[in-house]
Amino acid sequence: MSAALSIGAIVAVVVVTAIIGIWGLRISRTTGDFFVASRTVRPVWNASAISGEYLSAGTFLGLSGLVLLSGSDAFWFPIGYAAGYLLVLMLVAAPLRRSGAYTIPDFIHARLDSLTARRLTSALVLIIGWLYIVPQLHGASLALTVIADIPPWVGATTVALVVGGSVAAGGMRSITFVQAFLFWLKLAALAVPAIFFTITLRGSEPEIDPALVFPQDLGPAGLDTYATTSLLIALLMGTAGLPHVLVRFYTSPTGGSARWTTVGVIVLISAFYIASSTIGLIARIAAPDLAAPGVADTVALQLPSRLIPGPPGDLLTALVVAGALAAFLGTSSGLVVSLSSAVSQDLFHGTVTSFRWAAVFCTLVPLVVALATAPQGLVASVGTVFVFAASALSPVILLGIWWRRLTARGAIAGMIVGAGLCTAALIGSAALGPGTGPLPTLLAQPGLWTISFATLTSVIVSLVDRRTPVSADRILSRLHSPERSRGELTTGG
Amino acid sequence: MTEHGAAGPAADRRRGAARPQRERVTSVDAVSARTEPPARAGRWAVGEAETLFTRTLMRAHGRLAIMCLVSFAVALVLVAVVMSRLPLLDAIAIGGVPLSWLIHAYGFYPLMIVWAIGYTLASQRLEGRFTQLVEHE
Repeated sequence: MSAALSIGAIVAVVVVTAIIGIWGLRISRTTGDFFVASRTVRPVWNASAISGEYLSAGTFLGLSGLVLLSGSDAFWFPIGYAAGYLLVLMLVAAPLRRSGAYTIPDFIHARLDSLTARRLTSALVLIIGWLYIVPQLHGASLALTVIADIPPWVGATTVALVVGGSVAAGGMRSITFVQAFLFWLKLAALAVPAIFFTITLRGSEPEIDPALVFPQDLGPAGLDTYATTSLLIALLMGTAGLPHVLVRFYTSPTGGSARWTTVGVIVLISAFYIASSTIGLIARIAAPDLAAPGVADTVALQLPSRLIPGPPGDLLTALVVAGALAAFLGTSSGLVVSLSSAVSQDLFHGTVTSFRWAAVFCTLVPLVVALATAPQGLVASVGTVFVFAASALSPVILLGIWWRRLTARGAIAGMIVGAGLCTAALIGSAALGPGTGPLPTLLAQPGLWTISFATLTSVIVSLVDRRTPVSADRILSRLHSPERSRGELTTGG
Repeated sequence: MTEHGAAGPAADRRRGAARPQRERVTSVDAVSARTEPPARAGRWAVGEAETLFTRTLMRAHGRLAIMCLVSFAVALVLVAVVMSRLPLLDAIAIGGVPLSWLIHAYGFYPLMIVWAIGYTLASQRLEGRFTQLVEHE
């Protein structure tokens, strides 16, 4: 009964996604539609769409799993993810929209007038995107295995097929509507069960000992200052360096609407994280036996049948499964859109046909990786991508927007140092294994020092280089001037 | 390889303005030929007044952003210190969950929303003043 309902929910989500995608296809006509939805997406739709692709398997399934496994430290992840949008709002959203570029590599190229910097950025965008898609596919495998004992490859392949197909068919414009729908589905899929669970737990009054269920050493009192600061800075900066996040701002009509869109995103993702955190707290009360690596990430899927027996529980499980699928689909398709934009603009002159082939290519590579590797903790995997993006791309994007003297060589050096140091730290951390003490902590949470080194490198090399692009003043003027003063309100950008 | 579509609409406008632009055709292995910035200073030069204007606006925007980020960081640290260093919050439980855990799970999002709205309104005012100044000129 439960398995049949859950599979029915999966089929329903796939069918509705396909219908919305096809509807979007009918109104996707131009190249502008494909890449930036013709820059006409209103803040409410855009905020739902951005939230729809931002909230991934990492927070849908992974957050409650991590709260169960390691306590309140897990809450720093959603706090960092949401606060990342505050940084994006204040430093990135409007200028990036006003840049008029299609992708991050476009922006870097226009700002620094360097093909090498552009190609390096494209390579980093691809790496970040692929690294981010892999945990989504792992999450899909995990979910299907839990609900219906389906072989892991089926889940990953289904998500990859739906994502590759819908992106190739409809491009950005159709995906915008798909993403907005997926956000509301994800929110409902956690908020509704959370409300039911709370009512059930209050009604049954289980005898819980707060000191055992919520021990002090796993709570806020056990805060590690360095690890928390480093993680938060990496998550904050990482949001500004994620290709699928930034590409969304190009679809706003103006810089001002890009800002209000970001405010909307902060409100929407906060609501989602509050629901997700509630599931985590309830998991500690109702499912302590699932607190084991690998199993913990399935707790959101298993709670409904544990707390609410019979058909109502089965229905809630089906809803959570539908939401989980929405999480895998939303993030993966957002990433594939931005990767396909970058690949087709860079390698195939940005035509619609090349965008479609790029979508297929950008889905296949992570699928192969996902099928060849075993799932790790979902939150940790996604967190790693944020640290990498924060070290490799974010410093250059921020300096490019705010510092006139950034040069192509400075940017290239910063990206290489950031990416190199972060990779070395992550490999070192994996080799050392978990442990306490300064070195394992520095390697496990490298954001603070890798971002600092990358930024310093960019600044120092730029100052020594002094080849500030001749167009720097013109571009900065474009990035920071309101549309009205440029007479662009009516023409778009 | 050409730079077709390289800078999106900006490039489109450039191409539209003065076609054909054969000198913009380049290739992957011709990067060395681009060590000097393209000779287009004349067309791309920005007036001194505009540069000054933009820099003033940029600085104002930057100051506002940094002020908001720093004040948000202070608020975040304050809440973090309160929830992690006050044993009293561990002793008070609501629905079986210690208050310190509840603050950690829910307490930071309202701060973000308040700061986000405050910043956006302030930046709107800033840009409104800038636009008025431009229109007066």
